[in-house]
Amino acid sequence: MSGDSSGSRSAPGGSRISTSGVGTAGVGTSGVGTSGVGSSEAAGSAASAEAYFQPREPAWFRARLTLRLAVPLDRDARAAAWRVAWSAALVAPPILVVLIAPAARLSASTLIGLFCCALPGIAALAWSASAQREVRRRTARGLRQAGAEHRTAWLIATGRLVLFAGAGALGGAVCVVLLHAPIGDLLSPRAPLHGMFGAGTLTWLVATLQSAALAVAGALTASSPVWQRIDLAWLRISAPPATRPPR
Amino acid sequence: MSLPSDNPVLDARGLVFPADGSVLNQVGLAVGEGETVAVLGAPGAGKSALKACLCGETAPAAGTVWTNGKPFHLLAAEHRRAFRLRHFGLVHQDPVFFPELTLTQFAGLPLRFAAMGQREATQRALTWLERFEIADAAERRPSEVPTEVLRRAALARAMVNDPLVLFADEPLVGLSDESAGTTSRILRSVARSHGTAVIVFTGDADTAAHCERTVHLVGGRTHAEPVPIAVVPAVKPADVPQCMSEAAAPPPTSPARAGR
Repeated sequence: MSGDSSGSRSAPGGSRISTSGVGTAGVGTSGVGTSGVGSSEAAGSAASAEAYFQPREPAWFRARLTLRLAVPLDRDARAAAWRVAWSAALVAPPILVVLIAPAARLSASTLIGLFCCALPGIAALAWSASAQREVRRRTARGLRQAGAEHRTAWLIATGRLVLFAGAGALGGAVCVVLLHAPIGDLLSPRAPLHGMFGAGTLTWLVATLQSAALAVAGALTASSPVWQRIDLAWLRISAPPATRPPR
Repeated sequence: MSLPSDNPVLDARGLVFPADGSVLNQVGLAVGEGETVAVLGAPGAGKSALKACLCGETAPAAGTVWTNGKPFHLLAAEHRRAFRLRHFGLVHQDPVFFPELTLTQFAGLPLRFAAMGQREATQRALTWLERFEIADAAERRPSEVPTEVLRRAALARAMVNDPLVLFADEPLVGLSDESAGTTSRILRSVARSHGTAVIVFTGDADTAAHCERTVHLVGGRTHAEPVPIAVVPAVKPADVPQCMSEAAAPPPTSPARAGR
């Protein structure tokens, strides 16, 4: 038996390793991929070995589990998730304006103004999403303990952040979509929002989704281990010497 | 103390980890069907490294691990994971419970990840919760049940795939004497009736006393009898690799179970 799943390697068999255990792959007491069989049988055995060694949970099970773990039942966890949603709702409108406004209207001062508008949302998103880091890590660890693959565990664990940050950002962007006309009436014709009136429905839709995606990406970055290093570095710089965290 | 089984379900020989042998040095362990063995050692003795090598989470630098007469150590990492999912049960020192899932859903997760259908997985999870005498808490969530029930649920989850070998890292930590006694009695009985070999990794002599046989792990070597700690060089914490740190226990202040 070698580490390779294909070809003539026989699978771990023996009296206790059989199809009566977990899964439905065809690995019986005789093992998988026995030698001395025809090419079609060998191919079938290799396929069985592949199915045996790489069990794939159904995609809909992953989706259901992601959704189940994404919606928090605990009151504190729910409040923390809503904070992420509100932060994303704050950060999405300026992003949407940048995405949909004609490039000619976006001067440096306009961009700085929009950045200043987004700054409270960015700060809130960074703070609320980084507070979710431990939840995300713990969920991924729990799923790995249950036998999930690393990538699957990571993806399922990000479900809550994606759901709440995405929903919040979409909410914020939709507000802009709905209110841009009355807001535009209040602005001067040189304001970047005026250029948005000419944008088509598809452009609005794409820009809305893009702004939500950017907000979700920001939330995921803020809850990542990379951002934790930035947090720690900032704490080291900003904290008084007596309370600085150790290197 | 009973002798090792002649026909072991799990047979590890000459395990070395890492390559310089600073954590595990020529460690051997054989466990028979239905046997309950404790690996007793102080923090840093190499328990977590041994567990990781035996269950395939880490590949040893040298040595062999045979499962039911098959060379488990020759499998690739991804295949070891699939094999572990089907034929090994793991109880982690700090099992993560999901507040959103009931104990039945929690216990059935390994089966679902092994591509089993929901109905069958739920049925088997319920059966194992019944065997561990916590069926009445099956539809409760982790926040609604005491530690003892959670510990048993973790054991039920580890046993739900009817494993060849159960690796339990401090399975009785945080339990009272009475609870620990009851839980270990159920575990021994279940292991014997299902022919599952149980390896308990612990730093607590009381927990080890619940097992049929004890192997002492001191300074990265196994001994059948207790060895005075003073004659064996201690393993430096820095030698324990990052992948083991998750399961590593903090140094105990007393030999008693933590949380008592």
